[in-house]
Amino acid sequence: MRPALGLVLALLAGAAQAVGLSSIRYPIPEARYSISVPRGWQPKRDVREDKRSKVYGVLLVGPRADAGVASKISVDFYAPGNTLFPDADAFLKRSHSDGVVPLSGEKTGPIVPAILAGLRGRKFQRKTSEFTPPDSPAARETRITEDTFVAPARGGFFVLTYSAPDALYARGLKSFNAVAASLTLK
Amino acid sequence: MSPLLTPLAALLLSPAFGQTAPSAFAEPDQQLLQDLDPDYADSFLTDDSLRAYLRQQDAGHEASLVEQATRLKDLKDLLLAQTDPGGLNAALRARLVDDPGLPDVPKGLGFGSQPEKLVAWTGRYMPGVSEDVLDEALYEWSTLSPAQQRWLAAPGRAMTGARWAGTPFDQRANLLHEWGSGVYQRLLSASPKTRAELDALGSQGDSVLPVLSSEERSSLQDAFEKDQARVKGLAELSAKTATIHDPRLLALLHTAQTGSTDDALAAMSQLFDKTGIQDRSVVSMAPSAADQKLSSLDPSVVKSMIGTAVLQEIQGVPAGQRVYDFFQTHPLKLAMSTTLGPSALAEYDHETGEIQFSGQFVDDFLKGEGVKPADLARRPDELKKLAMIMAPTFVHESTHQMQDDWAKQNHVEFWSGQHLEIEAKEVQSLFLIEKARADPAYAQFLKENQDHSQMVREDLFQASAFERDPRGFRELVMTDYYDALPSLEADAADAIGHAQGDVQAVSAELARRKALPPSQVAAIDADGYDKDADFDTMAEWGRYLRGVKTSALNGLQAKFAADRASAETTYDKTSAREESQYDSLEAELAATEKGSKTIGEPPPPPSGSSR
Repeated sequence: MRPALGLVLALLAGAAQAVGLSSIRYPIPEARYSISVPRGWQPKRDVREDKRSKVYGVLLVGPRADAGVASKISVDFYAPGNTLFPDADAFLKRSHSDGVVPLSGEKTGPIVPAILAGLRGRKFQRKTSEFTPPDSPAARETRITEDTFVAPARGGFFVLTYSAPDALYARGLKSFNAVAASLTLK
Repeated sequence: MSPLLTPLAALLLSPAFGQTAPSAFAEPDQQLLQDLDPDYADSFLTDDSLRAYLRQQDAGHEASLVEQATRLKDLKDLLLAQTDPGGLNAALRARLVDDPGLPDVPKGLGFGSQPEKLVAWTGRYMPGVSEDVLDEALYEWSTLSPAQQRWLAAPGRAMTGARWAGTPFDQRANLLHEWGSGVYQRLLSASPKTRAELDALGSQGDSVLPVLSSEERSSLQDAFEKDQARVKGLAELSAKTATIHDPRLLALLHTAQTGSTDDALAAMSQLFDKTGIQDRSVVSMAPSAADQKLSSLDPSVVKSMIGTAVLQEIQGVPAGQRVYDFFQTHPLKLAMSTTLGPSALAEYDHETGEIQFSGQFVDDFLKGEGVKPADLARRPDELKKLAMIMAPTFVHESTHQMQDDWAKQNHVEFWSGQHLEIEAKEVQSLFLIEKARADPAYAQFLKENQDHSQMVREDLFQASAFERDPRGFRELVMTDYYDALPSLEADAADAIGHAQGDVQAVSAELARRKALPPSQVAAIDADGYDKDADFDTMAEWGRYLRGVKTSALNGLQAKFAADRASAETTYDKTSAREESQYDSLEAELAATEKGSKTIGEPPPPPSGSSR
């Protein structure tokens, strides 16, 4: 039987996770990078979807607001040939746009240069809303703040995002900065 | 036919298991069946070559491992995504179900009958998951309120912390639901009139919500919203009380102060109108008069009027046109539901093939616009406005009907789950984006109404999230919108596991029968049962199978093997379709953003195509 590389890597990841939360290294082997997972944040990956889209990353789910909206940190590498965006500029252009109709109550800050985890890139912040449950006339509106950082690398680009209900934003910002600082390319 | 049987149980039941397993299975068996390692399960499911190799060795064994791996992956994904005790509890209630007929063969992963094992398993493989959250979701004794503990400890139940620890999860849920039902009825009939009474009611409601069914929770929340409106309305009326002298208004005031909540809100609605108080949040909660309700019209007229208006609204942009075209060859069964509450605008009913919209939502819209249903046909502006608000959700629910139709066309099962919702949400958002780009009047309507219509506002924010970052949107849908729904892998686990268990049980009976004296077999074949029957437990079904004729057993074995193959095919085809659809939708969005998409371009690959 042919050895399954995926299994070996997964077992290594599992072993790392058993060491203890504060020292968890979470590897994304397909894109040859890893991050640390802060205490209280749950890593979530869909390997099948990553393979389809050629975007390799992990979502960290953190504390939730009363209406069920979760704090989220995502670290993604958009590989060359991914199904979504040709390059960092295209991602930034669309993600920073007003959208099809400017949203009342939403504020998007300017794009500014930034360096994160040694990567030279650009970032912006947006204050917007999320509604839960979906498609419900009685949905609750939760105000959220989103930080987006984009940096070209390895022929593709990294996107790091932090999104949290306003009431939880400050609490999770330190975790986001820690995750960003922990990003290690192999 | 049998209830669900886990492959672990199936393997243990199989007389051949353990004697003939090829060595290639040693590691997967250890990791998936003994260690229950969810990380290994993740990799196992994505390693197509390993699975193909194992399938060649023993297809039944491999199917069992796939079922086990999908179950492990599903539970891991759930625990990692869900950090809210209530949400986690709701999801676990759908998963941790036991089979009382076979206490020694745990259903699923065995965590339902022994919740403490789930705690240990989570601690081992997902140490970041909050133990407090999991304890609360599992109704651990320490998380119960003093009132719940007292009720459980009362004579007749005599529950203690130690006894509770050994109580299966579904029995915990049933007992607590019994406790909660009494409180629920009292809260439903309560009629608070002051802020203090309302706060007390809310506090009691919060304590009982986690043990209620979703329908009960929804009813209680609806009732509480009315109570809130009443208390708010009474506070607003108090400033006007001294100025009310008209006997008719005084009678209405009396009803507002002392009547049932519905009567009070109806009285307030009239009082507000006559005293100049402007508060739509209170008025909209009042029950509609008979002639203000959509139900006052012939349902066929409603269907025709609204259906025609919505179909007209979705034409002309690719995502809407595909839905429109679909209904040129498929029936549109549009219905106004009297049971959908404010928590859902619409739903697709797989059983009836109906797309049901909340009649209450339409009633509230008409009431807010000051239009009676009977006048709708003469008010095309209002009908168009209603259709524009309903259109994105209509596209969403129609996508579910198209998914259902695809399943029928491809002879596979229609499995409900997150995969359906991700696609439907993306199509819904894409429709809004395409239409707003193509139709300035629609874009203007969205812009002007986003602060007045909750549905317009929700749709706009959702569509923007999809437009800006499709990957982030997908994560949002799975994490915040539909985190309690099963994944496609969980659906597959249930279906494959069920069929696999049936095959194993029948095989075991056929093997047992071979060892019987010929005269005994002849007696069964002469006087036994000719067909299968339904039972609640595997044990009951197993006893029944002992009396089924051998020829019928052979037929059953072939049928269950075909069921298993069908479930595997469903998984393969559905996952291929899912990936194909995502590819198409993302490409269409990119083209729309470039402004190059025009009507008449080829649609995405046909449903069912394989990658």
